[in-house]
Amino acid sequence: MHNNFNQNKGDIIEMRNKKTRVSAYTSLGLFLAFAVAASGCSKANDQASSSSGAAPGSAAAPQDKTIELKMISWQGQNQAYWNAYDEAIKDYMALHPNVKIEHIFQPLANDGYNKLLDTQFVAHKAPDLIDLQGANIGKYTDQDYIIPLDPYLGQPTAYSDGTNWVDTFIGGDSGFSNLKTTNKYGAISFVPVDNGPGIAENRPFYYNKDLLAKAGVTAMPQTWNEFIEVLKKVKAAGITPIAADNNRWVKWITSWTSDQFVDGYLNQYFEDQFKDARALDDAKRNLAVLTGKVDKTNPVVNAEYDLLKEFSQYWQDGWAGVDDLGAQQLFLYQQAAFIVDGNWNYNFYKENIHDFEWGIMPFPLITKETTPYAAEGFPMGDNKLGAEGWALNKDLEKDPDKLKAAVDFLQYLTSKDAQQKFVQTAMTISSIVGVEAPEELKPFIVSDKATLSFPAKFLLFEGEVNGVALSQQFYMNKMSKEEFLSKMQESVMNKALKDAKAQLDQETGIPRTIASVEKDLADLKASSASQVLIDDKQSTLDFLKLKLELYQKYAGDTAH
Amino acid sequence: MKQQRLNPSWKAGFLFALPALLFTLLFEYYPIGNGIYHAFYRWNGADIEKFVGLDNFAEIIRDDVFWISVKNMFIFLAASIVLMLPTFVACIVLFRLKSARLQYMYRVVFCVQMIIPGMVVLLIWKFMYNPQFGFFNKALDYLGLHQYQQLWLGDSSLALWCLIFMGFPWISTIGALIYMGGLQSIDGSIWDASQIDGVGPIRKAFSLELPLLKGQIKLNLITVIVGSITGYGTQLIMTNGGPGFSTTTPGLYMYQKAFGTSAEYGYASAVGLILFVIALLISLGAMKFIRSEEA
Repeated sequence: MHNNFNQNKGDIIEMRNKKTRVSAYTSLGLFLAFAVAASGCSKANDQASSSSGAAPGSAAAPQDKTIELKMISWQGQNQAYWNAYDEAIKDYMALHPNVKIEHIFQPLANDGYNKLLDTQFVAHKAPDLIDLQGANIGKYTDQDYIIPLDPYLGQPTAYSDGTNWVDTFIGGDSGFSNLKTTNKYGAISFVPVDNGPGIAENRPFYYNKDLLAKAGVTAMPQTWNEFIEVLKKVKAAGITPIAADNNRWVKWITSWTSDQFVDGYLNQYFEDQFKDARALDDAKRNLAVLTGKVDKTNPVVNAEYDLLKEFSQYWQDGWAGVDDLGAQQLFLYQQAAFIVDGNWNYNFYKENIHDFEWGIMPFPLITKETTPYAAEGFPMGDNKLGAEGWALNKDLEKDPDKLKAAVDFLQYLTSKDAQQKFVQTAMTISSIVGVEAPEELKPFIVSDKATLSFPAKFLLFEGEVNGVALSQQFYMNKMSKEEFLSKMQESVMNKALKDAKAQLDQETGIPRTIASVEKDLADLKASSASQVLIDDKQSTLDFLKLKLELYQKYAGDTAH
Repeated sequence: MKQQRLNPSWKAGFLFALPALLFTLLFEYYPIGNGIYHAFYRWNGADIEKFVGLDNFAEIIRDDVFWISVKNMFIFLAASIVLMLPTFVACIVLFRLKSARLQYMYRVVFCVQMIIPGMVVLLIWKFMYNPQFGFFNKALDYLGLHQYQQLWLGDSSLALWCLIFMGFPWISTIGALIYMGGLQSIDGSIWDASQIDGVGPIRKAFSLELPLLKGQIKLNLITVIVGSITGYGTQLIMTNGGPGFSTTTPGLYMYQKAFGTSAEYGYASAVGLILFVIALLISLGAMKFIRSEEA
């Protein structure tokens, strides 16, 4: 379902065809974009507070009022998904004739989806329900464009037989803990409609059975060591083992290998009070580098990159000049034996592979045979790169009835009955407890080995621009390991310093957010709002105070 | 008396032009001003906006990637200026063709590429450069020259040159139309006189066509300069600045900073402002260097 990384060829070309030539004045055009954004900025400032006092719960909107909801997604490029949503929307509208739902399709290609939302949010014209993925969930929560959903998740829904909404998701609240690290409130601000918490932490490898047979591979590898042995055999047979690309792949593989390193590694560097707050994991990662606790000499950092460096020799020649579409083509043209992809593309491969046998293999487990720092497990809870789901536009708070209808629709969409139907049509995996996955997709589910609470993850990787570019140079032998690690350290250090300064800033950082949440809390108490709302606001406040303390303790001197 | 009669229409003219003027101010100048304003702010495009003085610029100056991108930009700029030549030469040769039919045929050939969307052209080139199944390596293989096969866009020392090579044979449609228009507007007696004086073909190019087309060359040059300095579409689609930073340009870096997940709009605005100043200075220099008849 994370099609942002995986549009099929036709869609991309269609989208790109529509784009006009990027003009020589694009740069100046950006000024225009900035200005338009700026004009909405003051409004955003005025509204920059966390969720208002709209009552949570499962009550649907009044039946006598016609409510029109708009939802936006990129699912139009995947017919099976589109059909699954169509069915769910029709079923819901049949149950609630007063609610009209319009599903808008906007392709992801060339970042078109995110850029559209960027501008729509600024102009307060964004649809009511928004399908979001990856880091954008955190970004829009931080910008106060989408609603933190914790108050709703903490209560039963009309479809959950008394179970709190959050507990209907596999992994419950703890499944979302990684996602909570991505926003300033430590909140859950989306609900997954497939995949999601507790499942599919690692993308599996699709493989070409014919090519593996040709290379003499008889058994599929379970561990990383076995996997490398298979890759050696494949390469020796003159076949490219892995179809890689220059961006998505680098981020994915960095994430999914480092996710299997030392559980609880960062805890040693921080006091006990910060130990179990998973929502502070990202902050701790930055601070560990900023305070020099983790640097280029760190043995885990070195072990992580040694593993990837060795692995990179099995990627196709020239991978750094190929995007994910090019990597897919390589696999489809039988030029590579393996490719990593998500379950959302299962139908794509099924429809496009006609002349060879293929299969799916779970991501191999890194064991102590490979590195002493292997945790021999997969992380519990969702992987941030894999996060994807539905968020609610914060402007909905201006119309409580509409907000109720939107929440109710999401609760219906994530109900067990609706999900059972949804996953069969979309060919995907449900994030809801008790929903049976289609048989073909079972290799995508990591179950008994998902045991890690605080895996080390990438301790020294700058995920914006530099991380990928520096990795490319290192893996292609254009940069020594020493130079690579030094530059990566410098880059992460700069980012961490900027982050710490921003967090500690009285006007724009955590203190400001605390003031805003304190005011909300006082308002809630004054208006005798429900206890659930008050408790939720209080826990947000406690989290923010803990986060501020963490930054003050470990970055107070450096950042000032 | 006469002036009094003209006055109302003069005012009406301004009234009619007013909407255009207002929209130009609103959609052209206000954004530029706003971009300049935000270059001095830490701004996430939404709720965080804080004045930071020259911090963004200080950070840019310390940023290695920015300077790599500036170096790349100057290579692209120099290449683009040199690659103006094929269009210019082709137009002179075409203009000298005696056959109107041939002239027409070449003009059509030059212009027909205009109807192909730029994005398609980029994607075709991207496909041609693919190391495994692209045109270049397949052609080399077919010719028995597989030892010369390259990784093209996948090789950080080659990727930039691959992007420069892309427009081969570098005939720009707009440039060609401007030059042809310029040549056709020149009084025919000049050519007759040069023929009587026995001016050779090379001398004719340097002494007649080149000076007479100064205005057109200047226009094209400014377009090429501004395009090379501020543009990044080709890099975004073809390589996303990689491998490493080998094809990163300041424009692309600005885009990545603004529209990445860290949403550093203030920093990106500052990069934009620097680009604006560079483009302005080089364009002014170029205009001063090539003084056309109009100037």
